[in-house]
Amino acid sequence: MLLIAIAWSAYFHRHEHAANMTSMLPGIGFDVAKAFGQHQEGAVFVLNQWLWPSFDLTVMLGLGLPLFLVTLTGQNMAGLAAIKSFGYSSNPDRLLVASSLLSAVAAMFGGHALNLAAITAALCLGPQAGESVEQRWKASAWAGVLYLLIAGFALWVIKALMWLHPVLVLTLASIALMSSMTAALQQAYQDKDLGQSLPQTLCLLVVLSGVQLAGLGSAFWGLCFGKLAMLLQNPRSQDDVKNA
Amino acid sequence: MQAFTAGAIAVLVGYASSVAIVWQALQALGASVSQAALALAALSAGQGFLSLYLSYKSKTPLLFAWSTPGAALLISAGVNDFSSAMGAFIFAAALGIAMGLLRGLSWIMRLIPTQLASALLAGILLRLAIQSVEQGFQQSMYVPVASMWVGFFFDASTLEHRRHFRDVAHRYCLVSLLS
Repeated sequence: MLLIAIAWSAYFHRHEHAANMTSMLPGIGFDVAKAFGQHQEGAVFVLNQWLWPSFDLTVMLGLGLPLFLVTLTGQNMAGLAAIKSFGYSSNPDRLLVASSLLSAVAAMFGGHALNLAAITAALCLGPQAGESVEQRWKASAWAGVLYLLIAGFALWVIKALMWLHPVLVLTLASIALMSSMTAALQQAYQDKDLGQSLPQTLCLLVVLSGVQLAGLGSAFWGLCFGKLAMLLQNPRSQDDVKNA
Repeated sequence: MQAFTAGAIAVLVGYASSVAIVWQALQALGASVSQAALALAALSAGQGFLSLYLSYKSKTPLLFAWSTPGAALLISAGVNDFSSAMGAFIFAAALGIAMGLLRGLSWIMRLIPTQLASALLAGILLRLAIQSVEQGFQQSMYVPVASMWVGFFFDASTLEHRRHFRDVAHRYCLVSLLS
């Protein structure tokens, strides 16, 4: 592993980008150290415990309904917001039907729910996925290919990824998403009139707070409060013109 | 290459950030190790198929994922019968199909202007960055976390922006995969 890292840094030194390496060395060192300290038990991917779903009304209402609501408000709406923020058009209902159909298929194998991604989607929607807006679909298509490839080795991949420290993954994600975040902030405050920016600020603050109310996450409540502020601030007619 | 790197980082982050929660949720519902592994494989294949097919068809970057908040909810649900949990998953999917066919989601999304959608996304991403620093300090990981951030800002201020993001993305992804 260390050899790979050294070879890697040598390679990039020649390509005049060696400075970037410095930011990653501590992260690699930590993971390598951790990996050496762990013993992994080999687990085999077997299909000998096939299970048919059974339908219990209490579980369907007590588990299925909240699962649907949380997935809708926490993931699908956030994912659509990301798509909208970057100026792409989409048909939300067609996407919901497609992901729910595949979700039903996955459920036959025990998968809980599929939906639009939010944070990882921003990686494929933003400037880091390509300079040309029309070509960025290739990023999520590649992600799809990788997901399909990984599916067969799910358990091994998980074992491997559990070596990575969650905080380092979080840091990697937030650094990779800095440009998307800046773009989203610019979009949110595109109005020059700062007196009109209260709804955005309210939405931002509620989402940042991470509150959980009535079982629904801060993404949903941020949108609710933002919309409420918008309705209070603008006359109804003006609001409709803005949306059109 | 840039598109591939962004996609690979998305997959890495998608798995690594939430696979533990999904794994925990499946086990809390009473799934055996091989049942949970099969479920993860099915979820991966499902999100892979959706992302690839719909992105290609619409020429729009559409990325799908398993439901992380959903998994967090399942951990504390207190159900210990995986077979009936699977029934509940199918019920939730059926609700989604019904809502889509009734055009309910388009109606909701039409109420949300771009500024609010962007504020929501910015909030989610800012929160991520704050958590990175906050948790780094709580778990005595200041050295690696702070070095990564300092390295990022040092690079960002010295290199041309667009090229920079491509390069950083490229290297973070590959090095993380290697380590």
